[in-house]
Amino acid sequence: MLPLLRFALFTDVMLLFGLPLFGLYGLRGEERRSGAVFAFSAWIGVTAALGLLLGGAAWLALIAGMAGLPVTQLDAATVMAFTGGGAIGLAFCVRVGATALALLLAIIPGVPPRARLALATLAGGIALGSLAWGGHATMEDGAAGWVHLIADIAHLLAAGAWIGAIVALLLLACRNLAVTKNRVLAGRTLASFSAVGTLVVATLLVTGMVNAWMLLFQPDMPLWPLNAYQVLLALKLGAFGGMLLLAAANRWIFAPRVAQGDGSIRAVIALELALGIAIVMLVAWAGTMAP
Amino acid sequence: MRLLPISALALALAGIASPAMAHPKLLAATPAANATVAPTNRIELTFSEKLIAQFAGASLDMTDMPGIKMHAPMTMKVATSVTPDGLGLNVVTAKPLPKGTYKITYHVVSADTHRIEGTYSFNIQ
Repeated sequence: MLPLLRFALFTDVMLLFGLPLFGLYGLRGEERRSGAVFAFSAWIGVTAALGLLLGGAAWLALIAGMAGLPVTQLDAATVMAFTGGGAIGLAFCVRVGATALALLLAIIPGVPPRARLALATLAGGIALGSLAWGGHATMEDGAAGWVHLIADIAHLLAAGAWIGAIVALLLLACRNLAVTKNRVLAGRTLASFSAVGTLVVATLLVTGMVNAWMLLFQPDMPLWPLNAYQVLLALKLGAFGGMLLLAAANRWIFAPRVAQGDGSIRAVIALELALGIAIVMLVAWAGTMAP
Repeated sequence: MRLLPISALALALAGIASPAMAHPKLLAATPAANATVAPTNRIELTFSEKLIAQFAGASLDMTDMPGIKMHAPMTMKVATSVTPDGLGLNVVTAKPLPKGTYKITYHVVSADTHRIEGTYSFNIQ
């Protein structure tokens, strides 16, 4: 149950962060108004509300797992004691606060479009980063702990930026490309994503290597034969490699064709998204087992 | 400590210390598993990772007593506490345990939220 909840929560919070962020770097001026290109208010509102629900459910499932009880037998005192004490509890409270703020942003009328996107990105980023306190990143002390934690936060933010961008670009590419306005917008945003995409991939590679080093290369841990965690990680790396290939194909082959109204990029982005979701699923699962 | 030089090398290469595993492991125990010891009122367990005190606990059952045919394990009253450094779990009884065979069952959760359970037996003579 916990891996599924973690998967849903991670995907949701990645979108809460990644979609408004895309609105900031991918769209311009009037395009950022909710309803012009994307229904930003609805997106932020729904992902924030789901984030609160999934976050609460995952929290209870986590505490029940630690207490060795079914969720139904969990008592309020146990939940309150863990929520009120320690870094993981604090991270949960920060996550709830940031997600609630994002929900407010979606509801309050009259917030300027750019400010709304910037604040939602900030709130979503805080919520996404807070998820680092709940995985393996909290297992070391001192300097090593901070290096691992910062790497994990950067990894989560980069992943959220990528997943959010893929969803946004897929939606833009799936519009009727016979309409000039749609074709121009899709072509422009796809082309401009290449710089952000490079930064995202570089961040994922560097922070991923830091994390792998800290988790796997332990003096008393054999690297062969692979244990279950290492198999999941290898699958993740394979999927990541696949995403890189698809992203490269999009950038150099399919994105330029959008200008001619060729929508073949849709299938490639959809496949990239499927691999991205598969990675989040693997991570949600792997995070609950031992490296 | 055969692993020490390798550990030191790994740490030097990494530039950062990270000796922790992601699931807590029982590193040492007094009395140890299957050991036979003099009467004591204290069992000390040491783990590879810091524990969350709230979710750490243990139970102790007497499973055999010399000269007496036991029908069911007898649960002993124990107090458990996590040591100040967070790595140890102490299980204490009010009085030294009488001669017999005991089974301790522990459960701990490390700082990264993973729960493990374990059990082993020892003898008091």
